[in-house]
Parts: sequence; C-alpha cells; structure tokens
Amino acid sequence: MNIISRRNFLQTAALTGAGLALGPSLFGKDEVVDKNWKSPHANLVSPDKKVRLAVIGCGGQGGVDANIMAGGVQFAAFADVDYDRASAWFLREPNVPRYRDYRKMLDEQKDNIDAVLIATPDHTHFPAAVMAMNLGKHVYVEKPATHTIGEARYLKALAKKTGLVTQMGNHGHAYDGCRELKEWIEAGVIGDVTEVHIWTNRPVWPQGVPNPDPEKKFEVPSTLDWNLWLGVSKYYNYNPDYVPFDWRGMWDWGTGAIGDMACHMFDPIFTAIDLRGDVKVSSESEGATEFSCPKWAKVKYEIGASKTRPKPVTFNWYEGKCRPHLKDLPDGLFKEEKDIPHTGMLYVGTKGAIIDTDDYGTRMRLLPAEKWEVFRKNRPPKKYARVPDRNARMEFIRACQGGPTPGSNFVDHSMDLTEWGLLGVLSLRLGNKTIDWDYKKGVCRGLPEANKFIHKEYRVF
Amino acid sequence: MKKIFVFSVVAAASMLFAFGAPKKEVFVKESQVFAKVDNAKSKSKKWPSSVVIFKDDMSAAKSAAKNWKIENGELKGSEGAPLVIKNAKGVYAISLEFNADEAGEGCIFVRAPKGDVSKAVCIKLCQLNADKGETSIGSINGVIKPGNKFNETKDGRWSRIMIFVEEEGVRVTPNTNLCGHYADRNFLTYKWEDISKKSGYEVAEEGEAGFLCSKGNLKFKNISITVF
Ligand SMILES: NC(=O)c1ccc[n+]([C@@H]2O[C@H](COP(=O)([O-])OP(=O)(O)OC[C@H]3O[C@@H](n4cnc5c(N)ncnc54)[C@H](O)[C@@H]3O)[C@@H](O)[C@H]2O)c1
Repeated sequence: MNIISRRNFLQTAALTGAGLALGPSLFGKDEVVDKNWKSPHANLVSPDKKVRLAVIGCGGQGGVDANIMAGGVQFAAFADVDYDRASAWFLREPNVPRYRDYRKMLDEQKDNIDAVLIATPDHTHFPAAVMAMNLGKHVYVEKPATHTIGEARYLKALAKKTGLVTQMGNHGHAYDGCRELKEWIEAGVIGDVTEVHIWTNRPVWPQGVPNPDPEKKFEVPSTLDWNLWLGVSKYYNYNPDYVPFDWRGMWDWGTGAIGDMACHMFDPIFTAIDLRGDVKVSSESEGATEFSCPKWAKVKYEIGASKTRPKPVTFNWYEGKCRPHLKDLPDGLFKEEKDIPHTGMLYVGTKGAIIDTDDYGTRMRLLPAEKWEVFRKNRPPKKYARVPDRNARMEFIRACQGGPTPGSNFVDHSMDLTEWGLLGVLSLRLGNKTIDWDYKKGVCRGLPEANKFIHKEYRVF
Repeated sequence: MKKIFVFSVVAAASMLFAFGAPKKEVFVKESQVFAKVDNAKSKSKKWPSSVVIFKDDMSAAKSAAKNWKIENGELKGSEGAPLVIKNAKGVYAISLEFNADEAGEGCIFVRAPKGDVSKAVCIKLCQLNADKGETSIGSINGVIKPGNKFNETKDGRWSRIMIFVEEEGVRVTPNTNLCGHYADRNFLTYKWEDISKKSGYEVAEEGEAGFLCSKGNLKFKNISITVF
C-alpha cells in the first residue's frame, strides 16, 4: 500500500506532464503519487496506447469487470465456453475474435494481447492465469484467485518471477475503507487487535446438496461446451443445477461461502494487521460432503503474537444460519441480541472495537455509539494513498501502462489473503479437523491427508 | 523420468482431443498445468462470428417491401408486409435492439414455411396494453406466455432481445441481464412441439425468419445474426 509522505510525494493534479516520465492519466486525478515513480513491472504498455485486453469468462462477473474496463482498453479477444452467457459481449463487440477454449485463444492471439481478465468459476482461474502469465500477459483474476493454497503460493511465485502486473478481483480493496481501517488501527484507536468476528448470510446458493447421481443425465445445452467448462476438474455429467453461478457451493469448482466472501470480508483486517504465520484453524459445520460445501459453518483461527503482531488474535467466521451472539462478544458492544447486525465485520482491540456492516469495508464505525460520535469529528490523518475513483479495475489497467502497482497484487497481498481464507476451507474439507498450519512449509503438521486439498490434481482436458 | 512424464501428458491430451469426451481421465500435478504452453494446445473450434445486418443497406433482405427502410444505421418499419431475412437457417441466433412508438406493435418471426408468416412462430416484440396484463414481449403466437412478464423498455429507450433458434425449439432473452449473476438459461425456452400443440398447427421443420410490424412504427439497430 503506497504511503503518503510530504517530502517524496505530490498531488498528481499538480503535475503538468512536462519533463515527467509519466503522464497524469496513469495515476488518475486525485491520487497522491511518488513523483519519481518508476514501475518495476515487465511488459508495460506505452501510456499513449490502449491496453489490449482478452477476457476469459465473459458472462456474470466477467461482464461486469469488462464493462468497467471498457473505456480504457481495446478488447483483443474473448473466450467463453457458453455462447449464451457470453453473447452480450460477443454481440456488443462483433469484430473481436471469440473462442470457446482460452488455451486456443491465448495460443492464437498471444501477439495481440497485453493483459487478460479471468472471471471463470474458481477452479479455472489457476490454469488460465498460469498460461497467460507464462506467455507474459498481465492478469486480473476474479476472487478467490485460486482454488487451493498450493495454487496461491504458485501464482505468488510466478508473479514474482515474471514481474507482471497482477490484481485479484476483490475490488473493495480499492475502496477507502481498507486504508482507513489500517490508519485507525495504526493510530491506536482500538489498541492492539485481539479478536475478529466476521459473519455473512451467505450461502445464498445451494450448499449441503446431495452427491451427483451418475444415472441422471441432462441434455447439455447446444451453446455450452461442458467438457471445457469442467476444464481441469474431474468429469461429472452436466446438470443445470451447477451452472451458471451455483457451482460455488461445490468443492470441485468453488470454495463455498467462506471462499467466496473471505476475499472481500477478510480483506480490510488482513490489510490492517499482519495475519501471516503459523495458525491453528478449527471448524464446525453441517451438510458438507466430498462434493458439496456445508449448509452452514463456523471457523476459528488462532494465531499467536509475533514481532509484527503484539497480541495473539482469534479470528472467527460465521456463515449461513450462524452469527455471533451476545455471549460470544465482549460486554458492552451491543445492548441486545437484536442490535447485532445481520452481516458484519467486528474488530475488537485492547482499547475498543470497530464494526463494519458492509461486505466491502465501507461502513465502519466505532463501538459503542458514544465513542463514534466523538471520534468521527476527529479522525486520524490520512496516511495511505487512495485509489482514484476507488476503481480496482482501472487501477490494474493503469498499472499495465506503468501506473502504481495495484493494491491487491499477487506478490504483496492477494495470494496471502486467499490463503488465509482457504485455510478455513481446508479445515471444512477435512471434516472439521483442527489444523496446525506450518506457514513456512505450507503443510498441516501431523495431517498428511490434508495434502490432497492443499495441492490438487488437474484433469488433462 | 521427467521428460517421459511430460511426453505422456501431451500424448494423453492429444488422445483426448482425438476421441472427444474423456473416457479414462488423466490427471497432472499443479506444476505441470500448462507449464509448457505446448501442453495446452487445443483443437476446439472458435465460436462462429456474427454478421451485422441492416446497418447500411437492405442487402440482407430476401424481399424488401416499401414499408421498410434504412436510416442513420437503423432499420425502420411501419405497418405492412414482413421483411424476410436471407440466410437465417438451421441453428442461428439473432440479436438486436428495438424501439417502438406509442402505437408500435410487432414481432420477429422464425420458421415461416415459404415465408408464410401466418404459419410462423412469432415472437412478440412490443405489446400495446402490456400494462393491462396482456401477453408481454417474448410471448409466442399470442398464446404462449412467459412465466415472468417482460415489457419493452418504455420512455424512448431501446430494448434488447436475443433469439436462439435451435433444433429443439427457440430460446428468447428479452431485456435480460445476460451479464448479471443470476442469468437463468431456462426462462423463455420453448420447444417446437409445445408451440405446435398450443398454436394448433405444425411448426415447419425449416422456414424463414424476419420482422413484422403490425401497427405503428418500429425501429431496430445493432442487428446481428450468427449462424452455428
Ligand atoms: N468481485 C466480485 O464481487 C465478484 C462477484 C461475483 C463473482 N465473482 C467471481 O467471478 C467469478 C465468476 O463468477 P460468476 O458468478 O460470474 O459465475 P458464472 O457461472 O455466472 O459465470 C462464469 C462465466 O465464465 C464462463 N466460463 C466458465 N468456464 C469457463 C472456461 N473454462 N473458459 C471460459 N469461460 C468460462 C461462463 O460461461 C460464464 O460466462 C468467480 O470466481 C466468482 O467468485 C466476483
């Protein structure tokens, strides 16, 4: 995260362009930037040229992302396994080459592509990103960027090695909330963080569903290439209950409610305090099978103190019908059970607490209410540079042209954040076993059976 | 050892491509996934391209009656004869934006035997009195109504419709959020068989497609056709 410092930084608005290596467009209007900024990234696109963007997965969230990037890019190619889902983009840009298979697209169009937006179901993020990065393309990968911890570590290393621009699609990371929480905590507003509670109404899609019945066969729609949709996943017969969207409740393709939301809801606190290191993770849940994610779950992370973490932290996740009750929380924060919001992120420190009721970290206030009234008029000074227009997609595009490194890049942030979320998934997939995570080695101590979920196998398709 | 492994992955992959759907699944480890770009060669076909029609001229029309004209990149139609499109055969998709005036009413028709619109499958584009509970856009032949009601966009804005004509039937997506998260592939899916039963005549196995303006004025733009 870029720090603001009077001596080294100046407002881009003051830049006139003359004599500067980079024009203001790279930084956006209101960003505070380093006047000596020189992008460390490889394969940069000249700022006077449009980034040539390929999209993998054009329906759903990919369509949303592409729409936000549209003004700043030239679409180079589209890949989608489902003509139907992609047709809005295919028909909006009838001259852009359109593929079923991203491998063929990357292979044939590699000379025409600078960057790739990957917004497929989770299990396809990794193979598509690896291929794109091995071809020297910058990547914007939807969240969770990976399906396993092994993949997260691999992509982090690949991003380091290639020097490409990377960004995960937890777009809330570009909002001010992430920076404010860090500023407040570093200013000592709630003291040292000791407890975190994060809860959501998700899953709002089916979880705890029966195993697929191999006898049951549905006709695959003519516009869908099912084998390509499955990609590296084990083969299953097509079922309209899986696509679109609902695959996220099934382990082969998604990561359940925790995987889906961790990248958003864990992000502000993961940005604010250091949560990297050995950790114990335990869970409770109901209805999970080898195939399906659970109907509901609670996950508890316990991480010790360290040089960068003054106090041990317990970090609690609640999904589905679960949420924290008065008995689970420190006294005095909420008067009655009904005062606890339906969804939230609660950060408790040695001197106070902060609640946030927005999944993307934009609705923070101090608890109890009286403290907030005093604090809101006297907030700590801004320390971290804001992202122009709070726009994570354009932050990525500008970075491809030499602008500042995106906040949720793979090397410094998003792969570690993804790993933190996936540790909860790991405990759930192991049937609620408590795991003792060895951060350095990337293994669960004394649990060799965890390895098949840390590093999965990939079907040749 | 390593070389043999990489070779076997590539060989296995080519066998899969050669024989279509996987019989015996072959799996590789994380570090082998497309570590070599050659491992990722795919023989899959591209999606067919779309052809933009009726933008500059009427060359895509099989028969162009006088009530249809092109103006400023828009196809404009008034009450009268249908406009039949060339080459809308087999499995294809038509996508367009439309805009109707106050009195405008019309449809896109498909499977019209020898251009006989009275025996075609007509997909309603805009509907007078839609607010009063009558059939909404996307309904078929005035007898098959969608489960959900869709109206054309009012207040002068353009509506969008996509029509997929398939072997089994026709799928219609009017003003949908195809880019949204909750797109439902089953809505407005009509089987030829059901259309025949409810309309009281056999849907032709092949037939022509085109536009009909039955009242008022209709405008169309960004019309494209994709033949699969
Ligand atoms: N940032 C956010 O707030 C946010 C919101 C929703 C979804 N997402 C993420 O976006 C991703 C997509 O989710 P969704 O809800 O849009 O899913 P979806 O199933 O609705 O859409 C996925 C799209 O990718 C296409 N696709 C599937 N497999 C493909 C492949 N192998 N190659 C090319 N295209 C393929 C599908 O046809 C479809 O167009 C997920 O990782 C999800 O977690 C992020």
